Amino acid sequence: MTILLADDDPVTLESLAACLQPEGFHTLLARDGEEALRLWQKHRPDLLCLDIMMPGVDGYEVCRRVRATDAGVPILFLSAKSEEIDVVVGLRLGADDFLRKPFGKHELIARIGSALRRTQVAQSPASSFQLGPLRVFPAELRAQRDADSMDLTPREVAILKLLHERAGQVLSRDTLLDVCWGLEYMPESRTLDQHIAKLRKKIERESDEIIETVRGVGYRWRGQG
Amino acid sequence: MSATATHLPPPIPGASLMLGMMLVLACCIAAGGVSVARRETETRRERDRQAQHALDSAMQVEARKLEALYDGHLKNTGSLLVQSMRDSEGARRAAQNVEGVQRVSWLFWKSASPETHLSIGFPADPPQPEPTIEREHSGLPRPRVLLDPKRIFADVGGQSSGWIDEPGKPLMFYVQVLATAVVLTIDRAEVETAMNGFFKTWLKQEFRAVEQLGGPDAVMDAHDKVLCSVGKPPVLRPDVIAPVISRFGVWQIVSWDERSLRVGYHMPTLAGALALALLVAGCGIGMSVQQRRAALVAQQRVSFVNRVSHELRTPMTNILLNLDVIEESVPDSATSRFGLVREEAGRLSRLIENVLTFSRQEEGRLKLNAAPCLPAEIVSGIVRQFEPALLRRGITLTRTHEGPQSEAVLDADALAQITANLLSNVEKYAVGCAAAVNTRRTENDFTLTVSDEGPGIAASEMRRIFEPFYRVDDRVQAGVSGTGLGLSIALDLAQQMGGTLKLIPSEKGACFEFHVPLENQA
Repeated sequence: MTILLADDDPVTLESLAACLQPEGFHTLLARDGEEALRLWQKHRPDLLCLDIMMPGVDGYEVCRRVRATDAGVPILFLSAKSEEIDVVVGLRLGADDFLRKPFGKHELIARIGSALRRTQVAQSPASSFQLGPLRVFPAELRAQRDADSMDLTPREVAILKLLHERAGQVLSRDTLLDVCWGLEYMPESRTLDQHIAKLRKKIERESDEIIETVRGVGYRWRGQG
Repeated sequence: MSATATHLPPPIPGASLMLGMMLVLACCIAAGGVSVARRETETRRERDRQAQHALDSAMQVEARKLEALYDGHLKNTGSLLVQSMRDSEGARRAAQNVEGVQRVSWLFWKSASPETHLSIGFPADPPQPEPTIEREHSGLPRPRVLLDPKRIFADVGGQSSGWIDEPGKPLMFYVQVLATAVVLTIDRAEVETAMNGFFKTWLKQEFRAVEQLGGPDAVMDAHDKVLCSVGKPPVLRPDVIAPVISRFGVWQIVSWDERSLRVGYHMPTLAGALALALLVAGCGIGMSVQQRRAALVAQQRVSFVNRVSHELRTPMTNILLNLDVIEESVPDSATSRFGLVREEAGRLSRLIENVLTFSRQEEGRLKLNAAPCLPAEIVSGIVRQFEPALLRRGITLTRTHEGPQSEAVLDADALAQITANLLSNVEKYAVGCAAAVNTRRTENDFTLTVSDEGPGIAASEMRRIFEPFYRVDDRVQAGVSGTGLGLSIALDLAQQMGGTLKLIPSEKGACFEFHVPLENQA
């Protein structure tokens, strides 16, 4: 899942990337509108997060040019401008959402997830898999349990997918890290545990374990039943 | 009990209204002064009226000539009619030749022949009285006018004629030849009309000398009908009237003097009124300029606050994002301090948001954007943000929801801001107490109730707590910080959403209820 981030504030740009990368998103960083358009042409990312006020080509213009050739790619405006007129202009130009600064990581990921979901639902019927009481929709970064719907990050989807593919098998920490984080990443072992803990908090309910800890080895999903 | 926030009206239109009213007042004073100081003097100059007098004399002579001519005509016709009593058709033809004859009557001196009458033209209505010399009348009773036989038959052996023009009797002319008299009843108005026609033609030539003087002059008949005129006759009565009198009517040559109107002003009154008007206008302009300047300064201040708050948003985002990034790598020993930093960052964000909302409100630019969202979920998100801070202050919060968790169309940011501002008060004032956040969703509305068991709000403060910048004094001393904007903004947002925000009377602590109707959104 590749996301193009465009903001003229280097600290914001770097912070956004630092928030999204650990959650399994690939990020492309642009300091201005022209760079954003160049990167979009070259990599065709899955989603664009654009600041409005940028030197040269502004966020509105980037949105207009992208929409001229691609009506489907989700576009989010991240802006300190929050007047109604700014929101209206942004949405009229075809943006999917308008995220007002200041915001935190969780709000950002939730909005990205819902924007992706809207376009995924519009483009293709969702493919999904069942993990115990949980139905996971990887393309929508979402899982459904009974009436409750929960947002997932690409990393969490990867973990659930691996557990589903290897149902009944114990997955070692190294396997999980290699597959879900990639060989080029060297995360700490603690990172995996934190992710699993967060994931459990989201999907599990009291006395209902989906992800089983196998002490000293790793994790396992027992499979159906 | 509900309370409303007080807002000053936008200052610039107010200043314009005030200026307008003062200027109108100044104009009224000036106009009144001019009207009171105005003095009109009329000067009248008598004109040379030789031409008018000459016309009068000429017209009088002309009237006499006409009368004499008419007399002669009547005398001849009368003599003729004395002979033709038996020939009524011949008599009628002879009488019709003379203008104004209405009736011909034959009367006799000591004769057995009865008096005879012949009506000429249409009978008059009411019928004209018949002339008679008989004291006792025989036959059907008819209106009659008794004539003096001594006068008519004074020269009974010879010939006589004359006018009978007495008050209360119709105008009559008699001709008596050898004890037989013919009395002609004359219609005075008909003769007058005939003379009018004659004078109109006559005046065409004769009025020229008067006309050359330029007037205003006119010639009128007895009924004030103008035969000819020069200049524009004024409405007031004529200054000179020269009459032309005849048996058949009266004409008058009327003339007005030259008049001119001089307008002057009573200077002390005028100067006083104008000075007062200038003073009022000056005061108006001065006050308006003052007000405009004050409004401009206030506007600049609001704009400045707006800009600064905008500029604060980017660094605030960077702080919040980076706090989230390092959250997982914070050592356990620092978790509590980290939580504190996060709470303070959240507080600062809310403060910036409140200041921005308030400045937009002051500039009249606050508008909401309703979109489908899950209101209960938004409230829960804000409650989660506050949980660590409430826990630290020993506040136990209970979150409950009634009804379905369905979507509603409303402004999510406004709902979040209202919830945060209400919870912020709980955090500040209900230290160590229990608090509850309840949401209730029905088919037609959404209600949020935030209550605590803290010290509550005194009855005297209930109305004022929704005013901007108002803070309860003793709590400032108690070390509670804040801008005093939270409730004012929450109330304004609630009203903009079409809802209400009320302080619900409760036995213990404070209880706020936000209620918004959801029309056709079930």
